Amino acid sequence: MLLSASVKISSVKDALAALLKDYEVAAPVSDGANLLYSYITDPNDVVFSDQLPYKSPKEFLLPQTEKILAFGEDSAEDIQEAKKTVIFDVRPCDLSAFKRITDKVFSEGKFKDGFYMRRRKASATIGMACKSLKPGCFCNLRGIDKSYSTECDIFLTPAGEDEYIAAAHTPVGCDLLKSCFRSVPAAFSPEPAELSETLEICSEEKDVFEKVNWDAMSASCISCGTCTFVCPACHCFDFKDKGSVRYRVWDSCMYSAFTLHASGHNPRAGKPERFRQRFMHKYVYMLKNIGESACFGCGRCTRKCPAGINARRVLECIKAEAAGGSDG
Amino acid sequence: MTEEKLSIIEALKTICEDLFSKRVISRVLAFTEGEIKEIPVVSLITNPEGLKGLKWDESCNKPLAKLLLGLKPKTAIIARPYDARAVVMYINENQLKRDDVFIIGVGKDASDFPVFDAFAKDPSPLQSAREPSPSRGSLDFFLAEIDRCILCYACRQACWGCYCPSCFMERGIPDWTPAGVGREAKIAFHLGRTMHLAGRCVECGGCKTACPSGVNLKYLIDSLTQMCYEEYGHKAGMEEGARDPLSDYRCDDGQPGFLE
Repeated sequence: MLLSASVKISSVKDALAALLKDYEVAAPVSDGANLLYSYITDPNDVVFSDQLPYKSPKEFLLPQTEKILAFGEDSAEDIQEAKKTVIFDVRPCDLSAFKRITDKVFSEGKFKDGFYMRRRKASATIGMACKSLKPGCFCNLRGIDKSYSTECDIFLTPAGEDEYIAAAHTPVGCDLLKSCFRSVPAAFSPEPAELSETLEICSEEKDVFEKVNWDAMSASCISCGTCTFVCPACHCFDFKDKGSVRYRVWDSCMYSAFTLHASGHNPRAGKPERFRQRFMHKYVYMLKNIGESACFGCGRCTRKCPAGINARRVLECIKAEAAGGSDG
Repeated sequence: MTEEKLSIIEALKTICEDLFSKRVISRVLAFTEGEIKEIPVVSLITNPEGLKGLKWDESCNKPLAKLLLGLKPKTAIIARPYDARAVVMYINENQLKRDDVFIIGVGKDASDFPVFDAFAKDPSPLQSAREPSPSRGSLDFFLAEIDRCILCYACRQACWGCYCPSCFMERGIPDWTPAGVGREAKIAFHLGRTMHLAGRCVECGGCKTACPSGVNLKYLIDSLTQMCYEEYGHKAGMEEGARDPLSDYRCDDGQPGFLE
């Protein structure tokens, strides 16, 4: 922590107004049916609540659709669009998804993704503590402290009735705190949270692949892909050319066209294989490839699944079945 | 849970236990209690033990019929009227055989079900999924709903009527869709889907209940449903052997088409 200060809750809207002068600001708003992160023009539209917006804020770093290239007869132009953005009220689960998954995948691996990196560099995150676990949340079993995070520029922790303690973790965060927030320096030493043991599948990859009854596990899934769209850590994408523009769009492993080859062959031909891919990618392959499971227990998939599939239950069942008898 | 709902659950358990013991069915497609009170779990119950968690209340409002596809041998479905209508449509469209399904209807009146094999009375069932439609000319309403859509296709996946192995939205040749997730692509998808469901909607409301963003474009399909009823006297899934207007072309048809 570079700086800590106390901020009156009543002054946060003024701070957002100050930020709006230089930045695009994305914050939770209500569209009548749902709470969701959206670019705001008026701080009064921001909804302050303990609820999690139904989609993660990943769209501000990895938009659902983005133009990446425009080409003419003998020219090609790289489209480099990255607006200066502040994402406000991001919870520890989503902050970890940015830091430990999308950052690693798009900017720390063998291939650097300029589009993501430009957006990330132009963005600041203001985190916020969660007061309670919402139905479906299981961040406590995914190694996340819901009440504190350092994986952001500024983190706000409620202190008393009308105050936040703002902790700035980066030089950008210090600047924003000093320039846009009316704050009074205050000492802050967050208490380390007592975390439950992390729920991980401990079996060999081969055992998870072969011993789990994926047919039964996926029986009620309707392959809608909602889980992947609302997830902060899912990041699969596809390209689409239209006219002289190339777009990148989100893809979903739940779709029948995912991994469909030009020949018509699909190595993951059916729902059980696609369901297996989603869970193994999250909890087995990512752990092996980058040292982090791609799930932080935000519970969005569970809350939005039309078939009532509970991700934590599925994870527990996979763990148990994979560790089961050798003849599966 | 009310006494009323508990007694329905007991009745359903008795019916299913009997079916299991007589080996009539090998599984039951139903809702069971999950860890989260408000979120019922869609389950394929394969033994009498599994019936313990059976759930039946207002939250059990997701259509189940689509999960019957490909399930053999016989599966029992705990059906609201729209599920039974979807089964009839599947039979009419050669996707399912009547013998492969055992329909346990739950509703106010058995006459609401086009077919059933057993019936349990629910004196206060769910309200009809149909909603008051906004005026047909309301472009603002339409665009507001379109803007909320995230084009995840949950509505299509929940819809009993959308069972094409490859949706027109995923076809490359010809490529129907604009790139990206702008209004153009969303409008192309929703209007295309609406047309494909003309006279085929069983009014389950699954498109709306499955939508993560709470988009309501069912009124578009409702208006075609109404038109089919007015013009052709046809309601989807009400009669075994009936053909829907879009797949029943007759040269001597004096009725106007949809696109006129």
